[in-house]
Amino acid sequence: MQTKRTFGLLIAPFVVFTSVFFLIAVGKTVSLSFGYDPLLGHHQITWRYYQAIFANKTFIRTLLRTFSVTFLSSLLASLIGLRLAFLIKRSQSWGARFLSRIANVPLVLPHIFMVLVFIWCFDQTGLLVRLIHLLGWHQFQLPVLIGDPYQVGILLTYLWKETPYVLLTLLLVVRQLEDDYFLAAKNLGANRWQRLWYVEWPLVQPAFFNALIIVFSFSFGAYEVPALLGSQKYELLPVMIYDLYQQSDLTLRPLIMSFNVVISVIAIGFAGLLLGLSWWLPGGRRRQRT
Amino acid sequence: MKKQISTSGLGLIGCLFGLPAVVILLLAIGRHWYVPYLLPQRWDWLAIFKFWQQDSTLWPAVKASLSLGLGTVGLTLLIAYPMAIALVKYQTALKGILNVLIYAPLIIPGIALTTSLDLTFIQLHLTGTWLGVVVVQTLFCLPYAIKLLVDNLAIYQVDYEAVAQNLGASRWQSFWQITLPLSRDGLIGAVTMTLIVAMSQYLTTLLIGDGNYLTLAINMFPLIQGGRYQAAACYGVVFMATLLIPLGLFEWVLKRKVRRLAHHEL
Amino acid sequence: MSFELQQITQQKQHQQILKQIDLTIPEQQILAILGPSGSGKTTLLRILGGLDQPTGGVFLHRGQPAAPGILVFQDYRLFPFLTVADNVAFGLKMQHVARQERDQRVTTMLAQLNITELAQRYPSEISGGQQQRVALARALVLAPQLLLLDEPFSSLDEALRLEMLQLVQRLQQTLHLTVVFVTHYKTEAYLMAQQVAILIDGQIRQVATPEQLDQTPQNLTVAQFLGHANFITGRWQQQRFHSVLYTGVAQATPMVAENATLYVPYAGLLTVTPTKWCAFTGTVCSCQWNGQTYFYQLQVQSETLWVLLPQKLAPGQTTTFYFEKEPLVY
Repeated sequence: MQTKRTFGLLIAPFVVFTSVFFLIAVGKTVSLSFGYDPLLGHHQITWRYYQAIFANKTFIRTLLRTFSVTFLSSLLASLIGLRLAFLIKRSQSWGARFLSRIANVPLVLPHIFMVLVFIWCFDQTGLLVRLIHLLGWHQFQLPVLIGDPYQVGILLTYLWKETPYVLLTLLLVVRQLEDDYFLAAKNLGANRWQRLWYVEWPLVQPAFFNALIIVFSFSFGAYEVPALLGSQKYELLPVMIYDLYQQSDLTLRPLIMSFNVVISVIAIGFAGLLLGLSWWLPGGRRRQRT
Repeated sequence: MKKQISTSGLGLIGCLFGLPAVVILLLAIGRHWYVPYLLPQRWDWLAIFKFWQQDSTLWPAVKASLSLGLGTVGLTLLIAYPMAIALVKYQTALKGILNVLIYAPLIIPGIALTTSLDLTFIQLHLTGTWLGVVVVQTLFCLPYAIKLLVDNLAIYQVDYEAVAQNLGASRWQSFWQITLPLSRDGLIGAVTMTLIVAMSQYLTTLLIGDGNYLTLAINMFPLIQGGRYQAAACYGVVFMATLLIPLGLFEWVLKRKVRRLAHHEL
Repeated sequence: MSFELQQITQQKQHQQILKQIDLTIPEQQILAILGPSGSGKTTLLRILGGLDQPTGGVFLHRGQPAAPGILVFQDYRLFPFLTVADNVAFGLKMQHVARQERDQRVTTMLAQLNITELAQRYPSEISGGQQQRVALARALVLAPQLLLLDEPFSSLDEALRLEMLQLVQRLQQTLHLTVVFVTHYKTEAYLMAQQVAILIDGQIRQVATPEQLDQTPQNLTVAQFLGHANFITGRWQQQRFHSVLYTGVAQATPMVAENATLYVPYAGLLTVTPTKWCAFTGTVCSCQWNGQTYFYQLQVQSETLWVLLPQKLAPGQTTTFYFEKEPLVY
């Protein structure tokens, strides 16, 4: 009885906080998205706004564009981060030690800083172009990466910021991987690639998918980078929703809330899909000894 | 030979990751950094102090960032630390639901959560208030803080608290003597992450703060948009100082405090 | 018809872990490598398993370089994310053995080890003894020429240990296996192996059957490691051993010097039936039943000795003791 009460006391702050702020916001969003808005005197529940969304070609196109850019950047960041984590796993070389320390820098810097540095380095008169000119290739020109229609600038900025995050997260896991399993596989005749695929990948893949989900979910809904580096003509979802929201048009609120519900469901569904994939792959069903 | 290449390659990638900090610093204190120069042609070591004097928005921004950031750290710890202890120490059927609630703010797109919270907070009369901003930032920080604290506490498989209580310590004593020293690294990690996330928030602070809290991150945004990169970089350096000085102090205090607690106050 | 280790040395950071090891591993037998922890047992096993390359020497099988032996690790190291069946199939899969044959060999092996019903379970869901069976199956399914066991029974309880010991012996007979296992536990080595190699400080000190080992340890190091004996210091002069406790004849080992040590195994003393090697007269201080015989602490003049005897003696009783056979002196 005593322990139950202690447990209740310990989780109480979280439960109260989450219910008061988070769950109320969720409830409000969902009810507004169905047109229920007592402030404006609307008490009718309607699918109208959802129908409007799915009829809206621009929204669908923006959604797909946002999804592909952010998923591609997150996937690349996760894969590169994973590879680097394995490379510096046990290495005592100065390169590896330096990298594992310095990877903290982009982690501490907010996204806005990364945008600033990206512009300074990869603008058409940026440091990269200056460096290449200095090395003697005077005709070199960099494609436009700021506000470009293919969102390459956004992708690269996210890659620059998120790869160190994945690297540091996975490094913790990879360092804990015991050599034991690796050696057992070697003794049973597995070659280098077989050991990587059949032993190490199953052991790290849950952490890999976790990192991928976190990085993707973040960049999918983040405003700053697309607002500063995105193309005005081909905007990404967060910018689009914020612009709509800023118009302070009360009649637009149900529509914005149904946008919110739809993209939240998509984000949650996609995270669930990735978790399911991880669960289904070898290593996902790993059960903890209790 | 192959090893040499791989270690240099790793070093090079490390330079790429370290580059942002260097560029911001050079931008802030360098002058005449035009095409085609790879480095600033002149230096102004006092650039940041001059900027501090000229720009009247900087000091209020530091204060706003700090007060919101520290408030968020406090509220986050108040919620996350007991939660982490509960999750590590108690086996419960609620774990699944609790985990969903913990990680939901990470998975739900930030823009959706921010606009929805803004709408809700207008009704709760929290928009434009210090508490409102702190609450929203806490919501975004909780997943990181809880995760870091849980991971740290879970390292210690042995129930040292039980050992202490068996040796006659009260629950309160065993918390001060055992649990707190053991979670020192987790607390440092959680505070660090929370302050970083809180101070980096742009849109949430802008919307929920309703213009009353112009933090460093908020002020930087239009500077970058308007191409005033040098001013933005000065803001950047001040941002780093505002972030790192409290963190360093906290780490120092905690390390000393914990050592004292663990060794002298028995 | 054997495996041969010739002049195997292993050096790590200027420290010689194995020093020129010569060892013959007879085929279709069980050889135990017995030694204290830190003696280099595991290093030697890793070389036999191909996990490490020795810094010097060769490992041959019938005159040719030997294929690495298959290891059963101390903590089993079953892959936590694979079922029992998949764990057992792992090695075959690595060799690209066709699915059908693989399944068949795995099924046979699981049946042989009596774990068919565990096939679809995960390692974390089965007991320690069952995990050991799975680890054995995972190695044996590869039909290894040489099976290596690393402290195989150290984490099992007494009853289970005997059961697994018999299982390994039975498998060795039916499958005609060549087995090498390392242990620091004397009883385990004695119960299981035909031959025991004593490894101390990176050197093989003696290879013999368990009886030979206890009767004639080759030198004092081995004798002290095997333990269960009293060591009496004295002088070796004119083919006789001289000490406060015992003065008389003894069987000299080759390196005996003037400062000598007499080897008196706990079980090497008699009291009721006199022999021609009368040892000493002692007083019983304490008596303990060890499960098979009585274990006595004796006071002989100023020294304390331990003896194992089948007879019951009362504390305080004074008796004459005899050596069962001529004692060894080092």
